[in-house]
Amino acid sequence: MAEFGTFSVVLALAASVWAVGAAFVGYRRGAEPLVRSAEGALRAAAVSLTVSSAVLVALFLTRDFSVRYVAEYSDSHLSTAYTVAAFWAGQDGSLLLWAWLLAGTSALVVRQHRGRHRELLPIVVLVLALVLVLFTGLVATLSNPFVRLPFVPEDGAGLNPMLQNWGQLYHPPALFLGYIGFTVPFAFSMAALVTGRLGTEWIRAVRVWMVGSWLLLGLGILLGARWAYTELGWGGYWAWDPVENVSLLPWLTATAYLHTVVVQERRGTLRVWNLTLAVATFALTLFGTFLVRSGVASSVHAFAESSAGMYLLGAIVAVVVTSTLLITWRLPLLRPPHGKTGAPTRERLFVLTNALLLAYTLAIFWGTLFPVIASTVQGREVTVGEPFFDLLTVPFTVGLLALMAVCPLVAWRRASARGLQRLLLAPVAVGLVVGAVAAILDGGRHPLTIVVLSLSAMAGTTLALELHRGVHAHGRRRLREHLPTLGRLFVRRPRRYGGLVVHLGVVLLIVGVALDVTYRSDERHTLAVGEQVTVGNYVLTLATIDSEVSPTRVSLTATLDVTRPSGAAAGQVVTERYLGINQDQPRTHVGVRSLLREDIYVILEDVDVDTQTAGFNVHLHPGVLWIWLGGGLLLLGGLLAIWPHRGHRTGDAVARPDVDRPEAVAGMAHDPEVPRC
Amino acid sequence: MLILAAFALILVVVGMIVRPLLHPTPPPSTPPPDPGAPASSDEVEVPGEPPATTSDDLEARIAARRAQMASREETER
Repeated sequence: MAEFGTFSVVLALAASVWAVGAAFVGYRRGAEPLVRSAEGALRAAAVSLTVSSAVLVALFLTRDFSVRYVAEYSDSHLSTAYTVAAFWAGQDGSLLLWAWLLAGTSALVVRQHRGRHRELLPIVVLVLALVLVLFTGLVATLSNPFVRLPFVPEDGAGLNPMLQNWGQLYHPPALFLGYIGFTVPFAFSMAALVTGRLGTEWIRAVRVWMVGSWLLLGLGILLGARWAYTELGWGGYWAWDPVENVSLLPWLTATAYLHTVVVQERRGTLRVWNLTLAVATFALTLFGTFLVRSGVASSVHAFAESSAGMYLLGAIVAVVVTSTLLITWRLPLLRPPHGKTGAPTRERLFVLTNALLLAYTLAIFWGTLFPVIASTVQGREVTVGEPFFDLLTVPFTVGLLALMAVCPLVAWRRASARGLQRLLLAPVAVGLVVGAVAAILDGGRHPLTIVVLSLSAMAGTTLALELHRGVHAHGRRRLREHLPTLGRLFVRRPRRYGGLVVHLGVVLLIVGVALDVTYRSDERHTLAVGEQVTVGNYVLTLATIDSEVSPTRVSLTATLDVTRPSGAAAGQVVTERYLGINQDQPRTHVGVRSLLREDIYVILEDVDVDTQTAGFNVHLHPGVLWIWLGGGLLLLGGLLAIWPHRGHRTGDAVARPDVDRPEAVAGMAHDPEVPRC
Repeated sequence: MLILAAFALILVVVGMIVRPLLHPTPPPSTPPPDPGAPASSDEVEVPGEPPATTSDDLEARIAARRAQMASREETER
C-alpha cells in the first residue's frame, strides 16, 4: 500500500507540472480550453493527494511499522486520535499535509472562479500550480513518508509525549490552513500585476481568503499558546521561540493589509502597499516553513535538518525578485487615480497603523534571523531572547492602543478638530480614571502597565461608544431595543461591526498579557494530605494523592481543593506526574483553575507515596483568562466580518457618493455608518 | 487490487485534464446590461434627486445640498 501512496504523490506532481505548462501556454495564446485543462489538473492533483493522505492514515491505523515514517512517529499503544495526528508529527507527513491542503485550496479557488475573474485566472492557476509543484516535488523526492524500512520492527518508536496533547490535533492543521490560504491572495496579486488589472478586482476576489487565512492563522497561534501554557509547565504561553515568531510575522503583515485595503477600496490609493503586503505575507509563510524545516533555527518546534530548506530558500528568493520586478514594471499603472496623492486624516491614521505593524514585523524578523545569520557567517552562537522582544512590544502596544482609541472617531475625508475633541472626551476621561485607579492600586511601581491599562480603557470606551452610536443612529433609544438593533447592525454591516469586535478582542488580550506579565507570581510548597497553604487570595488543601499503573503508563495524581479565605469553595486543581512506556523522563500535566481574576496554575514536582506528601510549584497568573476571551472575541469578530450576508457589498472604490451623506458634504467629523479602521 | 486502484486513479486524473480539451466550455456568459442601471457605483441615484450624469452635475448637487444644509441650520437657529 505504501507504494500506492508514492505513486499517487508522483501522479499529483505530474498533474501540477501539466497545470503550470497549460496555464502558461493558455495565457500566452489566449486558449481557454488549455486554461480549463490546467484548472482540471489542479483538481486532479487534489484528488491524487487526497488518495496519498488516505493511504498514509491507513498505514498508521493498520500499524504498518515496515514504513519508516509510521515506525518513527507511532507505536501499537497510541490512541486512535493521536495515531491519526501522527500524520503531521514529522517533516515528511507535515509536508504531505501541506501539499494536500494546498491542492484542495487550489481546487476550491478554481471552482469558485469558474465564471468570474476569467482574465486573472490563467496566472492565478499558474502561480498556484508552481507552489504546488514545489511542495509536491519535495514530498515526492526529499520527504517521502511512504519509504519502507529494510526490516520490520516489532513496534514503533511512539509519538513524542509533548505531542500527545489535544493541541496536536488542532494546532498544526489550523496553522497550515492559515499559511496555505495566503497563497491565494499572492496568486491574485501576481495575476493583477501580470495582466495590468490593478483596480479593486483582485482585492474583491481575495477578500474572503485573506480574512479567512488571517483567522485560521490567528486560531492556530492561539491554540499553540494554550498548548504551551498547559503542556510545557513553565507557566507561559509565548516564549519568542523562532518558530513562534515566524507564525506571527505573516499574521502581522496580513493585519496591515486588512487595514490598508479599505483605503484602496474607498479612495483608490495605497495600491503598491497592498500588493507588497500580499506578496510579503506569502513570502513570510515560506520563510516560516524554511526556518522550521531547514534545521537552521534552534527550537522545540523545528524538524531535523533537511535539504528541503534550500529549495524553500530558493522559492523565497524567486518570489521576492519576481514580485519586485513586476511591481517596478507596473509602477506607472499603480499611481492613484485622479492624482489623489494627498492623504486625508483617516487615511493618514491607516498608514500610521500600517507603519507601526510593519516596523514591529521587521524588528521581530530581524530578531529571529540575526542568530541564524551570526551562526552562518561568523560561526558563533547568538541568542536573541525575551528582553529584546519585550522591549519592542511595549512601544508597539502603546502605539496600537492609542490608534485604536482615536482612529474609529476620525472621519474619512475631512475631520473637524472640534468634533474629534468632543468625541474623545468620554474615552479620555475613562482612560484617565482607570489609569488613576491602577496607579493607586499598583503604588506607581509599574508605570508602563498603568499606561497600557489606561490606553486600553480609552480604546475600549471608544469601541463601546461606536457600537452605542450605531444603535442610536437607528433611532433606538430604549434600552430593551438596543440588543435586537445591535444584532441587526451586525447582520447589515458585518464588516464594520465585526471589525469593532476584533478590536475589542485585541484590547482584552493586551490587558490580559499586561496584567499577567506584571503581576504573576510563583511559590513552592510541600504538603501532606489534608494540609493547606494560603497562596494569594486562595487556600489550597491537598485532598488526595492517587497512583495508577496501566500497561502503557504509571502515574501519580494530586488533587487540591481551592477555597477563598472566607471558606467559599472555588473549585479543584488536578495535577499529574507520569511515565509512559516509551519515555525516559517522567512528565507533568499541569493543573489549572481559571478564574476571571487569575489562574491558579499548579505543577506537581515530586511525590513521596510513603509519607503521602507532595511538592508543588504554584503560580498565580492574573488576567490569563482574559487573553483567551480576547482571542476568542478577535476570532468571532473576524468570522462576523466575512460571514456571507444579504446585500453583501464587495466594495468598489466609493460605494456611495458623498452627496448621499449630508455630514460629509458639510465636512462634519463623524458619520456612525462609515466603516471604521 | 492496488494495480487496479492505480489504473483507476490514472484514468480519473487524465480524464480531468483532458476533458476540457475535448469538450471546450463556452466562455461564461455575462448578463445583458440593464439599461436603467447606473454604469458605476459613483453614479448611484440619491433618492428624491435626479441621477448625476457628469461631474458638473455632481458638483451642482453638492452645492445644492450644502445650500440646503445651510438653510436648515439657519431655520433651526
